[in-house]
Amino acid sequence: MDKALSRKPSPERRRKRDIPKMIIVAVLTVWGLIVFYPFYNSVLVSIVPMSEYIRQPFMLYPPELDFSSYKFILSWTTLSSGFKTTLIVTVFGVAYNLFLTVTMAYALAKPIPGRRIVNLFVVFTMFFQGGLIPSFLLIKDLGLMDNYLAMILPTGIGIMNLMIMRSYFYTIPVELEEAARLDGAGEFTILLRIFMPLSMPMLATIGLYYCVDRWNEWFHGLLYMRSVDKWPLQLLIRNMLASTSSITNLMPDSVKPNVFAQGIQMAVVIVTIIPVAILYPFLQKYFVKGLTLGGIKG
Amino acid sequence: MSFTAPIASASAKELKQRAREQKRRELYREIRRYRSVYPLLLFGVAFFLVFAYYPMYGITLAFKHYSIGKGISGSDWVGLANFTKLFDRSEFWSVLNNTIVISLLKTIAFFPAPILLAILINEVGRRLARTLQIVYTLPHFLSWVTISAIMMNLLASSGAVNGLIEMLGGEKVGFLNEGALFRFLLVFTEIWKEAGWSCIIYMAAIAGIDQSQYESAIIDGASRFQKAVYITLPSLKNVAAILLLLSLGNVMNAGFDQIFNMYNPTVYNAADILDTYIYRISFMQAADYGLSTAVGLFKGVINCALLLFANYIAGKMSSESKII
Repeated sequence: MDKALSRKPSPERRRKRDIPKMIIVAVLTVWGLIVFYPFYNSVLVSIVPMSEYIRQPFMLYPPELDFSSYKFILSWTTLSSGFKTTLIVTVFGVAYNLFLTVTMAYALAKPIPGRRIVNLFVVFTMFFQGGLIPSFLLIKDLGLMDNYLAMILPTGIGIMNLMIMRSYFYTIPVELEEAARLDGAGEFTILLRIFMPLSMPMLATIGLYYCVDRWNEWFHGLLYMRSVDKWPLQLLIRNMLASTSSITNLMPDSVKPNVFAQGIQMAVVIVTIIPVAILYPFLQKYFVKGLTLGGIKG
Repeated sequence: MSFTAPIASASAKELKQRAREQKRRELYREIRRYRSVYPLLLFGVAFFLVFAYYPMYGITLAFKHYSIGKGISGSDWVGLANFTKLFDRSEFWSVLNNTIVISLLKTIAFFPAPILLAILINEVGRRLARTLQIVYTLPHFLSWVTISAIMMNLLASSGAVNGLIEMLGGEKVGFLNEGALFRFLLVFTEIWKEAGWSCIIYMAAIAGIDQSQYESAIIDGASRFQKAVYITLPSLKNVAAILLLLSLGNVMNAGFDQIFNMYNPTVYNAADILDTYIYRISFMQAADYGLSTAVGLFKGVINCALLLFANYIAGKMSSESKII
């Protein structure tokens, strides 16, 4: 009884201790709202009728619901081809990223002669690059204009991901691979059967980083893709913002009176954010792991 | 005595040679031992050769007049003509100035934000911290295309913020069309997008602080604020210094993705940076590949020097943070 009483702080002390904490929680919540509000606003713009948006663009809740923006983008074929392009770039791009990163990280994790030189060869590219025009001309000379490969091939190895992967491979005990080697396993087999299964969490992490980069791809599309039906989603969004008239011209007459450029833009934005926003909270621990492992170097 | 010297030196030479031979034989043995590993290296090396090193050869265009028919190697050399042309353009100096000013503004304003967030988040309960972090870090995973679409909708003259301002009886504000405001917007959106993500590094550093320090501070009657100032902040000093240094090393990169997706001709004089300028003189105005490669080289050389310097200083502070 005595114990229970003494653990409970007196009302005055408790209030005194709580005030700074309440201020902290308030400050953090306000920042959270500042981060959240632009997204919320975009959702609102995408689900209200044009008349409401024009009357008062600042809304706390939708005064009236109207999903014609979403109806319109569902029937917009360019958008579905954009989804297709982004999926192709993401799936094949991430496979290409992981293949290059994992093979190189594996080789550099071994005490092979010359690894210092190769390291320098790799890291130098962080300090100095060829720049826009030389890279552009390379793709042109390779004949990859308007080819999906132009969006996939130029981004191969993220150097931070390479380093994170390599340091993870260092931690895998040598005994495991020696046993496999005695059984006559080659390097590819060892990498595939021993190293990769043992580094699943790390592979997931860098795979997710690559996924995000690929999903957000727009610049290579802008540089290299001539046909609009091969543009990735992000480039379509960009183009939509630059010329709203280009969308309204595409509208079938049946929806025309109900839809407006801002509503359509925000509907597309929301549709591209949804996959990231849904997956992200579940995958957060992997992302954070990569950042803390890459440490300062990230 | 005079005889022994040459003999000694001869045998020393011999010894040296033997040692060298021994070393070489060891090297060969090591290479043979790992010969099956090298093929795995080839894919990555080939990638860097083609997509990182071959474009470096293309930099010769900075000293050439590019003609499409002749290609990079066939185009005529013009010496430093591209550079003199560039330095004669007044817009180049304004672009350079914008790049440095925007970078520095961002660096200075951004720097304390994640530290503050990390310290504050550390003070609240785990569940709230986790929820907040999910919100704070989400923008990091979206592209600047998406973010600028959201922000431009919000801040346009017909957007929600101006709607609110008018509702409260104010005048509409041209966030996207006034140079000074636009720069402020660049700094704000940078913090908005990245502070939550950056703060994770600091939170990891805070998690690594020895808890007994806090315990003895509590016994001494230290307040929450005192603990933050005298224990937490000093232990973040190294991480903070290195991050600041690296962002200063990146001063020539003022944020192409962000600016390119948010700016418009009315704010070119306040927000046009080297990278956006390079893009425009390459693809939008009458294309001049030689000139734009020259801008790229100018930027690349300064950037490389700054990064090497930052890396050198960071390495002095802690060997872990050194890259080369």
